[in-house]
Amino acid sequence: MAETISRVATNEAKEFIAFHIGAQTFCIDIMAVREIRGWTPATPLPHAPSFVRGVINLRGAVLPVIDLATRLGLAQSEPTARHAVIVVQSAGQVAGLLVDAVSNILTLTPDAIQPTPEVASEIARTFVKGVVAAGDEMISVLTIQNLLPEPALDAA
Amino acid sequence: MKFFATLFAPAIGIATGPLVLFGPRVLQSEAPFDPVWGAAGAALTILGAAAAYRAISRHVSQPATTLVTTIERIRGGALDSPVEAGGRSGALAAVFDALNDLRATLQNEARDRAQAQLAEERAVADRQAASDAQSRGYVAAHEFFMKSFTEGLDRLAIGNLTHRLNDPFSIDYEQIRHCYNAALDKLRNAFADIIDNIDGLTSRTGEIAGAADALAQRTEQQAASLEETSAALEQITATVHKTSDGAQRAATVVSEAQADAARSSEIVRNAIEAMGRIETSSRQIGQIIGVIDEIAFQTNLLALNAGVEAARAGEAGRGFAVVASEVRALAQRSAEAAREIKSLISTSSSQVEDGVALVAQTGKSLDRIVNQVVEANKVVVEIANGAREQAVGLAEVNTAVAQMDQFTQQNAAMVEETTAASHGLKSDIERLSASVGAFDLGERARTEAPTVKRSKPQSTITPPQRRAATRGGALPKEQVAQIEEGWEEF
Repeated sequence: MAETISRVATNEAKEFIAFHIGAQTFCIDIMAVREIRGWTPATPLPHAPSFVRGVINLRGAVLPVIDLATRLGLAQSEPTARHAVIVVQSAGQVAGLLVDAVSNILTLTPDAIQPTPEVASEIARTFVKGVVAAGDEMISVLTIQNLLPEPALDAA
Repeated sequence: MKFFATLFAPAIGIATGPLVLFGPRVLQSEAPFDPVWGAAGAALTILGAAAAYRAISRHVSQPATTLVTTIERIRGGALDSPVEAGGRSGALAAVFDALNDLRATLQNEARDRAQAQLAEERAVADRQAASDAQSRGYVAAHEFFMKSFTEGLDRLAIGNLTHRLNDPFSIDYEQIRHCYNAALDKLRNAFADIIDNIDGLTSRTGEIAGAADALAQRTEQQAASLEETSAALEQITATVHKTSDGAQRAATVVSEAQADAARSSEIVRNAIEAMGRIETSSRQIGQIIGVIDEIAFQTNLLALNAGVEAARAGEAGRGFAVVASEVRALAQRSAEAAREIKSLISTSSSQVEDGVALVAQTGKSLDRIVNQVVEANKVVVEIANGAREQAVGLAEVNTAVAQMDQFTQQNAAMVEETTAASHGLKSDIERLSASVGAFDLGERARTEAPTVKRSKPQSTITPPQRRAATRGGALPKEQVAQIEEGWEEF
């Protein structure tokens, strides 16, 4: 694990999972991904934030599912069996991210990732780490720990 | 007493007054006096006297002989001498007296007979004379009559109707003269009337001939019109037959079309069912494709997870990552193929739906066509019925036209006869005119004669008319023949 981190630190190419939400394409660090699975109906939680779809049973563990479209301020879509849930782990927190479809596994070098433009708002910059121009589409690189609900807030 | 008077008149002499007066009166009344008879009477008187004398002389001796002799003498016709008793008395005298009476009676009768015969002879002679005179008159009158009458008849024979028997005939022939004159009057009047009427007859006969010619012409035109009518009828009949045949064929075609439409309906139903089956199959294919897609999706997820695991494994998972990538590529290709198949299937499904809709519309159209065909069949049947009725009506019209043709032919024949008769009448009138013209009617005939002559030029004009008429009369024959041919064609 330490080696990996060090490789990351030393401009090594990293792999990302690319997925679609609506017409946009996003990607996240593959190392944060535990697994990818199809959508199964989630059990809503009362008083949960609007972007929390509910919880699902993942091999006996209760997994909160975050509607990433809502979380990113995009139009909410009604999930189907073709929707995918990306199970991520960040800072000891495990959650599922509801996306429209997982499209690819990208291998990117750090210089391919351009910083988020200054014109974007602070909220955007907290979610979007950078933008990759791949072909004719722009792929936003998301910061996972900012997507997940704050444990402190949950505790509070 | 008459007997005696007659006997003794010559003897006594004519000088004796009463006897002389008496005798001639008797003779004059019956016959002229004849001296011969007077002499005879005298002789008889003398003979009687002598016999009487002898008888008287023999009276005594032989009275019976005398009596017998006397009777025989009387029987022999000697009646002149009287029978006297001769001085006898008694019964003998009475016998002699009776004998004498008998003799006297016989003598009177003989004299009466002689006188009657004489009178008759004279009457016969008178009648003969009168008859001769009458005969001579008759002969003269007869000769005159014969001469005059023969002359009259001769005049009549040469056509002179003006002659009259003006000299009276004898009373026996006068009636004949009157009859002759009256007959000639009547003949002359009759001929005058005939001459008067000939003009009118000529002009009327000309009118009749003209009318007959015009009638012949019109009959000819009528026959021609009938022929045209027949031809037109023939065409109409042919057309009606064509219509009938066409209607029949149309009915057949329509019924076939109906059957075809019914079969087409069945086919459309089958097509709709087949479409439904295709739809079902497509749906099933879609479901299978869905399964495949699901499998591809899950495979993709598995490959992604494998990739994730390989990435985590670092260098150790590099090879595995390649395999996972390949699997993911396959899964994506499967998903792609499934999507394509899905879209194809959905396209096919929509096309099948369109096809079903179209086939249903076709079925409805076919139903409508079937209904319309049924309607058309009804109309065609009506047309066929109408054509049949038309054919029946045309048959009646044909019969009527045939009758009209027959009548026209009869009319043509009649017109021909009429034309011939009118022209015969015309020539008869000409001959009559000529015959009548041979008679002399006197003043009136002279005024009338030009009329007769004037009618002759007309009659000389008529022959062309007659020729035209005969031509006109002959044409109907040809026309009739043509019509008959036409009818045979018809």
